[in-house]
Parts: sequence; structure tokens; C-alpha cells
Amino acid sequence: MIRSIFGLILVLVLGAIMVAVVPDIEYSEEIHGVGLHYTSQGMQETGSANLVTAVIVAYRGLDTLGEVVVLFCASTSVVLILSLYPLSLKVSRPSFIVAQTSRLLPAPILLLGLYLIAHSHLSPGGGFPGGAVIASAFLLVMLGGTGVPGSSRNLAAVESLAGLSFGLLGFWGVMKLGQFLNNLVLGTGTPGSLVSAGLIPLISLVIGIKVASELSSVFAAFRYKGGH
Amino acid sequence: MSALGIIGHVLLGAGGFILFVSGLGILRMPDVYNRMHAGTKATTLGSILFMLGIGCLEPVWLPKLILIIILVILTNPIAAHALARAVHSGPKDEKPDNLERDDLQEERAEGEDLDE
Amino acid sequence: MSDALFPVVAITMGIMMLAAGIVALYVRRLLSAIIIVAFVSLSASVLFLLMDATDVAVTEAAVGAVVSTMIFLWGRGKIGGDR
Repeated sequence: MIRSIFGLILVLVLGAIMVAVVPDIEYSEEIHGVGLHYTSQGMQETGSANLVTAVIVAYRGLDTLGEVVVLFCASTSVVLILSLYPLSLKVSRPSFIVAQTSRLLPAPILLLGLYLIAHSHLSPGGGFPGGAVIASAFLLVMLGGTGVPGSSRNLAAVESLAGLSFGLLGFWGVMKLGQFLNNLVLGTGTPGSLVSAGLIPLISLVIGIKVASELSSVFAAFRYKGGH
Repeated sequence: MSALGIIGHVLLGAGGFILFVSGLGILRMPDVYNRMHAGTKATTLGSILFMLGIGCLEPVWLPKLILIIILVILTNPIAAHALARAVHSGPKDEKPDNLERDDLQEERAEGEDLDE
Repeated sequence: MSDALFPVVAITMGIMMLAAGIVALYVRRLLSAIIIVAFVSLSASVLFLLMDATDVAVTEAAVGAVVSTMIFLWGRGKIGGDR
């Protein structure tokens, strides 16, 4: 009782702070510093119609590489810990309806994920959400119990290949233009068309594959004994 | 306002009302199965009416909205089905014991649908 | 979203998320806490969408509402249900 009253007071106090603060936030039209550079020249420099992806993949590509490495460490440690303590999860067999649906639905979900990855430089999306959507399609397959999306060994191989190609794409920039992960090793093309924006679509694809295989291997480690 | 706009607003209102009733049902219904009945069937109809209403107001969005409707029709009842089965095979103290008829129990008793 | 309406919607959703987050801390059952956290995640996604941060909204919906919820649920199964 005292705990819930404390919680209520906390909600009221924080809510009052929000009521006081949020209307005063000013969305100024002026953009300063590096943001001005991104918004004024980003489209010409990278050829990407989606400036968020341009910043994430082209201008801050090294940070994204670090993020991918962090994700790799996290998923590897989860799989490692779960394989050390293989507690079996009690799973009941899905009914006919669920099994059939889990065969039908992953296809459009996969399509959405591939769309998010392929159009990362044109529309909202990118490698991370696209990979997560693809992983959730695999999750549906696992939940339906109609098939196994591949052994953990294959998933690890796909993941390593994707990480390796991220690094190789980076070194391509070193060899051609003397700068790691330079976006301009490929032409920028016309902003807004599917084949444009230099290296961005390729890096998005690599990130998408990596995230999808990492999350799938985490799911597989939870769902199946020993990961497959 | 055009006729299509009026239809759209009526559909939005109906969808909102049905969603409200479904929320009320989740709060007021006595046990799990009744609450699920309110929370899934009514939500499906409410969402569909809402999408159709938006489609009448903005006819350009109609193809995407129809896709969403198909997805809702596919997923919502099946999620409810899986949820009901999960409740049925779950802990004893969380499901109602006053069922008049329980076909799934009989089927399980016959051993056709045993858990792995 | 019109400028006049945005603070109202943002504050309403923000207070709902606050309340849900604190309920998730205090609720007894782990399963309820997981579902409430998923709700907070989804509300955050809608809020990002209202702020025109579509990329973040898509990521939050996919990762926060689907993947992390599923991992929490399975983790709960691994440690043997509620406490």
C-alpha cells in the first residue's frame, strides 16, 4: 500500500515536471554546427535521400561498426551462457492453426524486412530495424515449430561473413581513396533512385544480415537445446 | 463535407466505440476466456472499422490500409487462439473451473494432442 | 500533427508511460511486468513517430516491442516462471 502510494506520488511529480517542461520546448528552425552541414550538403555528398541513414552509415560509419561489434559481443555472450546452462524450455506442440499460420506469415514479414534494408537510403528503415524484422520472421517460424531456420553453426558463419564484409568494405575505401569506410568508392548516383548513395545500400545490407543472424542465433539458443 | 467524408467519420466513430467497449469488457468481464472474448474479437472489428474510416477520409492510403486489414484479420484471431490454448494448458489457478463443456480437455485426455 | 495539439498528446502519452513503468516495477508477477514493458516500448515508438523520427520509431517497434519482449518471455521460462 505504501509502495503504491509512493509510486503514485512519483508519477504525479514526474508528470508535473513534464507538464511544466514539454510545452516550453522550442523547435527552432535554425540548425547549427555540424547539423547544418548535414542538412545542407548531406544529399549532394552522399547521394542518400534519407539523411538519417546518411549520418548513421556514411558520416558516422565507424561508430556503426563499433555498434555492430558491441551487438556481436552481446549476442555471443548470450549464446555462450545459454549453452553453458542448457535448461530445457517446456514447449508444447502448436496447434494446427498456429502451425499453418506460422508457415504463411513469415513471407510478408521477410519481404518487409528486406524492403526496409534495400530502401534504407530512400525511406525510413535501415540495417538494424530490417534485421530485427527478419529475425522476427524467423522467430515466427521457430514458434510455429514447422521448421528450423538453420543450425547455429550456419548462423554463426553467416554472421561472421557479414562482419568480415563490413570490414572489407571499409578497407576498400582505404585502398581506393585512402580513408576507412569512405562512402564515395561507388558513385553517388541520383539521390532518390534505388541504385544510388555510394556504399550506403551495401553497408545496410551487411548490417541487416548481421543483425538478423545474431538475433536469430539468440532466439535459437533460447528455443532449442544446444542452439539447434 | 462530402458523402465519403461523412461515411468515414461515422466509421471512425463506430470503430472507436467498439474499441472502447472492448476495453470496458477487459476490465469488467469475470474470467480469462470472457476477457479474451472482449479483448480480441471486438478489437479486430474495431481496428477494421477504424482503418476503413481512415480509408474513406484519405482514399490515397486505401491500398496500404487494406494490407493492414488483411494482416489484422490474419494475426489477431490466431494470436487469440494461441493465447486461449496457452491459458488452457497453463496453471490451474488461473483458469475458470466452471466450464460447461471443454472439448480441448477431452481431446487431450484421449491423447491425440499430447504436449511434447 | 498540429503544433497546438502536440504537447497535449506528448504529455498524455508520457504520463501513461511513466505510470506503466512504475507499475511494472511494483507488479508482483514477472509476466505482467514484461507485458507492461512491451507497452511502454510501443508507446515510445508511437511518440517517436509523432516527433517525425520515423527511423527511430521503426527500430523501437521492431527491437523494443518484439525482440526484447520475446527474449524476456523466454528468459522468464528459463528461470522457471514467476520467482
